[in-house]
Amino acid sequence: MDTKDKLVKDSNKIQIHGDHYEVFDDLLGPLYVEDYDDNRFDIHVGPVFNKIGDLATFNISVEESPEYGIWIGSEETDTNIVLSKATFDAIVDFVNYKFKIKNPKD
Amino acid sequence: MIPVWQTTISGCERASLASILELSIEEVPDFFPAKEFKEIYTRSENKWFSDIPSLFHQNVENWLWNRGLMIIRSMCNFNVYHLKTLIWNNFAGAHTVVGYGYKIVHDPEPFPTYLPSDFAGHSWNRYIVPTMDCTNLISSIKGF
Repeated sequence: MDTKDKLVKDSNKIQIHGDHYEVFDDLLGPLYVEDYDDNRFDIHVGPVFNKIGDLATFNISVEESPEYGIWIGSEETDTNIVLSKATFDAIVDFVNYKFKIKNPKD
Repeated sequence: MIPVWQTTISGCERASLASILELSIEEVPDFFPAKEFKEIYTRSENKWFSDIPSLFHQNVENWLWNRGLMIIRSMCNFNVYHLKTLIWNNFAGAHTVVGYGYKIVHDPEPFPTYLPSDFAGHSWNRYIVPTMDCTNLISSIKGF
């Protein structure tokens, strides 16, 4: 069993459902993950409340690039939305599962 | 998070890191000493902002990596303590503070002479997270 498979087995936040993954947010429940290619995955987040009280659903895109390392972007670019630590932890779990993190010295 | 104040003009990053990791200022290296800062500032004819990232951030990331930590960058706001880099309105520089969600919860500058309106409306956020293979080191780091 390689490190990635072991992480899925040990994690209570990552689940494989046929052709897609889910990561579990303690507040929002399961979040749908689309695994695109070696360097990117998307997580569907929501519904969450933004600063003016509207419910919003949007995609977070997580990429690994030579310039920025791991980058979390939002399609909606709605910086008024504050996401929970639970969502962040779920993203970090999937980052660790998907990307082979490289030493910045290399 | 335990607030730590910067001791040099270029020490906002160092103090913000110390605050998040709950270390003293002496336990975090001076990633960008004032002498080096002045040399680059002079050499680049005040356009120092574009020359800093590769040198400066590499030093920070190497130091974190050796402690089982790494950086995740985002403009999204999560309810996690993070390094929030504010860009000056004239894009001549930046200032790092401690953020939580979209709020600034600690500005390490002890005697600020600027106003919130001096910064452009957006910020770059850097989140410090454990690296995959170093989970055994994390418990030895304060604040985690």
